[in-house]
Amino acid sequence: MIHPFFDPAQNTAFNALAHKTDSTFEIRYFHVHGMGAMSRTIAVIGGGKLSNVHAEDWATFKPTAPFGVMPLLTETSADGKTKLKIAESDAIERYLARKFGLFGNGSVFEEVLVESFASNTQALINQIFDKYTIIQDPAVKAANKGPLIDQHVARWIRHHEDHLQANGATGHYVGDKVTLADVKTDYVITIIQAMTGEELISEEKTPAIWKVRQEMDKIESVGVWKASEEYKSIGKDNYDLLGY
Amino acid sequence: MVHAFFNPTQAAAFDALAPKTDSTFEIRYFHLHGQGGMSRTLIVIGTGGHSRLTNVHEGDWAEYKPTTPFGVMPLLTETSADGKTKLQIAESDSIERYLARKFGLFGSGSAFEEVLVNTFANNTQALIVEIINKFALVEDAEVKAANKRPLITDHIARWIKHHEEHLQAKGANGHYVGNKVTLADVKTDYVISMIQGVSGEELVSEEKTPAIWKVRQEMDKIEGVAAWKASEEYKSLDKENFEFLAY
Repeated sequence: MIHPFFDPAQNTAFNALAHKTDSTFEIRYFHVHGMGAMSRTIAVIGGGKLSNVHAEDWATFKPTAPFGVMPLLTETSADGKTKLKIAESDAIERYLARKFGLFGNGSVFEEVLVESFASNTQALINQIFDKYTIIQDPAVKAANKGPLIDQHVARWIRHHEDHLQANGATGHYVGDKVTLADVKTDYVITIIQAMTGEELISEEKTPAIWKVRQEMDKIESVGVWKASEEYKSIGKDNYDLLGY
Repeated sequence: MVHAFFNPTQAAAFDALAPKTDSTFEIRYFHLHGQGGMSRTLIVIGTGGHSRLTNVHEGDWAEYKPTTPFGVMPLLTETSADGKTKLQIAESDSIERYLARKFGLFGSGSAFEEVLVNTFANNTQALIVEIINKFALVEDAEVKAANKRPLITDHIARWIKHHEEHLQAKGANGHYVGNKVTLADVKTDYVISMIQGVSGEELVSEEKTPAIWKVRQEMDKIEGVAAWKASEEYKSLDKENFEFLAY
């Protein structure tokens, strides 16, 4: 039996809903930022009404998820009649970014640029998670930190500060509005600072990278989300469990 | 100074070249499959062979590296059929998506099929990265051996279970979406080789995972793919890939 997420019978309804920006969104994930944070941020940027389901009953729910993992997105049309569901953080982020115009001005050129920067940043996020964030053994964590910084973090900082400076240090990778690339950099700044404080990234040391954070925080809905009790509560659990 | 790859003055020319399928392509990468293999496969699928694919196997990387946007490979250079326009793209994920879009490997063009392709392709790419990090790139034989069991139980076995189920549910026609090749199929065809590098035929084979195996069989029926895999160049890549990355 085809999993409901993938049933082609919903093709027409799905395609109609994909373009709508007045839906409500539910993101099912743990009560941390982790791999769900950027999906939430994109939904918020788009002005979507977002409810977060923090899955305590994951063990019962897990077998019904197409790959046994979260986050999972459910979108409901404004009239309440159509639902769609998407699994895989990367697929969710791309779907939402496309819906809300976060791939640049619509040209292939800007789309490719956004994807190049976003992909390079996601690779760093994955490296830090794999070699540091989820490592429980403090000895291994400490041993991994140096090479992680030298081989991955420092290189990312150098290239991204260069590119952002070359684009005029506007706080945007492409054009003059927020894209998926900006969302990922805003997120990785937090992760890097948890490892290295202000030693590597700060307004003084990496002004062009820092400008991305500043421009993100100017987006009204992002400001509201980050100031919310829910966000602060997620942040606390995230710090306890993932260290950032 | 804006890096040449990102210079917005080329935007119009870039957009004109993006949908063209009669270009020639150069992939600059190491003499391995690694993170360049799937970009090459997408080109041979889209162009019906490897006559319009030039692989530059990077010998002098130390010199070339500082000129690249992120200091990494693979790098794609596409040249228009009339030779007048070039474009360059960095980051394997970005290259793969660009090529997949150009050659119609995101399904029928609907948002639904695009999301499905992304969902399966991303789930498979996550496994590819795990195997690369915990097995292929690990030089210490003891660490490699210690990593193998958790890699299988925590990652490979789970991927196999879900993908065999999903492909069976769809009729085991060797395709994740519809009845033609997509980026999702390309990634599964690739990860089959990696899984077999880790575990031989213990986990993935025609008998054990027929629906997953059908993806490989359908890929090998594509003319460009068959010719590429039979070529001396591909076999030479196979050999060095096995020596360095164990698959």
